[in-house]
Amino acid sequence: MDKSFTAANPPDSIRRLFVAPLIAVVIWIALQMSYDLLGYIDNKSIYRTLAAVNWVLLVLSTGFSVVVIYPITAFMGAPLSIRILASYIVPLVWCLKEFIRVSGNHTVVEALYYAIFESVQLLVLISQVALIGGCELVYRWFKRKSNGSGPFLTPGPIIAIILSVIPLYFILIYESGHVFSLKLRMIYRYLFL
Amino acid sequence: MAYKLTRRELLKSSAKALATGVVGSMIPQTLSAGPDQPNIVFILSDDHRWDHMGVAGHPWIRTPNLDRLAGEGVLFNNAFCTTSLCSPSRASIITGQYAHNHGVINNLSFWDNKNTTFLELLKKGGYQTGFIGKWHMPGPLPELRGLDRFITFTARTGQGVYHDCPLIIDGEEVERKGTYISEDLTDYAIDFMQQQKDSPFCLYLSHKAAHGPFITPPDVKEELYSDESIDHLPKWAHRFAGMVNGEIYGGWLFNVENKYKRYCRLITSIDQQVGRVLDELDRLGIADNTIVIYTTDNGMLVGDNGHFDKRWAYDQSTRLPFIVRYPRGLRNPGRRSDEMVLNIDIAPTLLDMAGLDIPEGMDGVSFKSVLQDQTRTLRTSFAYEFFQDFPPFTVPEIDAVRTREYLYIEYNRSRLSPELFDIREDLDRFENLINTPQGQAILPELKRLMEHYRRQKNHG
Repeated sequence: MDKSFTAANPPDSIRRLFVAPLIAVVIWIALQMSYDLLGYIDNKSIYRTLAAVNWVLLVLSTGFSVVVIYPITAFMGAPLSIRILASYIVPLVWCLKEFIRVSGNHTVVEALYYAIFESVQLLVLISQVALIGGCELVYRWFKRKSNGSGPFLTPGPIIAIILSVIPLYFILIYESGHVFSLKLRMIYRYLFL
Repeated sequence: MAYKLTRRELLKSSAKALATGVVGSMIPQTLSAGPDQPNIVFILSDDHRWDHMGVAGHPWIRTPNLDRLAGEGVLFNNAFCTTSLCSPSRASIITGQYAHNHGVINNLSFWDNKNTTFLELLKKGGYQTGFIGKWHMPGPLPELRGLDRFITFTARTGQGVYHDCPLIIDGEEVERKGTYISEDLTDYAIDFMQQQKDSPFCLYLSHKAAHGPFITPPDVKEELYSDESIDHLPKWAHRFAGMVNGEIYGGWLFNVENKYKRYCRLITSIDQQVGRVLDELDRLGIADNTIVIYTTDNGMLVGDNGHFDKRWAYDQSTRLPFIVRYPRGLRNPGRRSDEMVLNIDIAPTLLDMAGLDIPEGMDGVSFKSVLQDQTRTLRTSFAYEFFQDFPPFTVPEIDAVRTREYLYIEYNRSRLSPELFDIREDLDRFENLINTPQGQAILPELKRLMEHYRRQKNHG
């Protein structure tokens, strides 16, 4: 099951490793486009139903594609750096899209600030760390189940989960995220106004 | 489709407006006289969209007290804010100036204590003055001159919280356990009116509702409106529409229908508080000589043209519920006026009705003549301005011209193209006419108006 990423067949391995993230990006783009195209439907109830469903799929694709991509790349034998990179592809494409959208109304530097540091973007980017940690544990559990050996609980994934949950608490839960949002605004004011 | 705004008409209406200003200043101050100066109760809500009142034709929202107020006063069909964002609009109301003049251009720019408020001028004119409620302008609490009572809050950068909001009462912070903010503020307002009933007073009652998060008071039940349909909302208002393309920061998270009904319940709760104020005026026997104004800082987009929140120059965001009642001084109560009034007109009008001079620095004009049911045209167009805001709210800088017939919008430093809508035909469809023969025909005049307003803006 665990195919090693060896120097013997790099082109083939690399191709295989990037198929999953590539498919995820294509699906994400398709969902983004279909969401926009749905706007041409005049019937109110049909539009509302389809748009809502499309939106849910889009959010799942943006924030949670990691739970598919990470295990696939892991089982294909990709090293940790490649697994992480592959897991971040869809969120980063989304950030890029937001950057392009906002740069239409703000300066490039402001758009960059927004695309990376705004609450929702940070929420998605940081939550990927927790999800990657969780996926790594699940992957190990499966691997151990099939091979009967290998490490399961090591500090790496646990630390990743803990380290990402702390900022998520401030972004999302503490004072309903208001304090965090305020800090971002103050930094923005200091930097740009 | 008829194209009405010709150059000749524009010149004619400009002359008319000029004449209104000149002649208006020569009219005797019949509505006010020394000891009989009217009391003023100015009630400001937050984010109350203009068509969300029973009297404005909403299919199911219940606002019996606002309906009553309109029945006893004048309901303005064409009232607008000049910047549809909380802080700039509030500063415009209290100063009578455009944002580019008072300086509070967005929710991040600080209030300048050098600004003159109509409350300060009323105080100089012999009024007892009270500001109770949401101040919500950036920076430290203002040093407002001429206030006898100043009750406000700074929690959540001045947005306040619906339950247990600490109030700052004449400079001292006081915990308010177990209270709902709209009721709490109304209690203080009633207390102020009771204390000041024997002298002319001006009460500025500024509510937090119906701003998000849409948390309703305990006595407004969750079942209210739960069975109503949201079919009247634009098709774009699907369940999660408040969370796309940067709209997420407007507070319409997850279930749009649920949020919308909460928003409507909040409006009904504000209506209840308006009712309490009106009842108290009756009970004190001062209703006849009290001007009551109800309005809001800006409107609310609920999926209109795919947007939520406010900021955009569309009517759903800029048009205000605007009612004035003044039993002693208003002619033909119960009518509607199509006159175009702005938030910047409130300050000069109140000074005018109190028999006081209107300072030159005010950009607005008095609409006292409208209350007297005189056939004069206040204005035929106005300029809308929106300045750069914090990027989560990714609305570009906007300059717009709104005439009686058309809305022309230019987005500055933006990839968005200009927009032109025929308001008479298309308030909800958002069909951009800019490249149509009709649009091309009207565009030069609208551009000329835009340049005119821009020159004014650039020269303060």
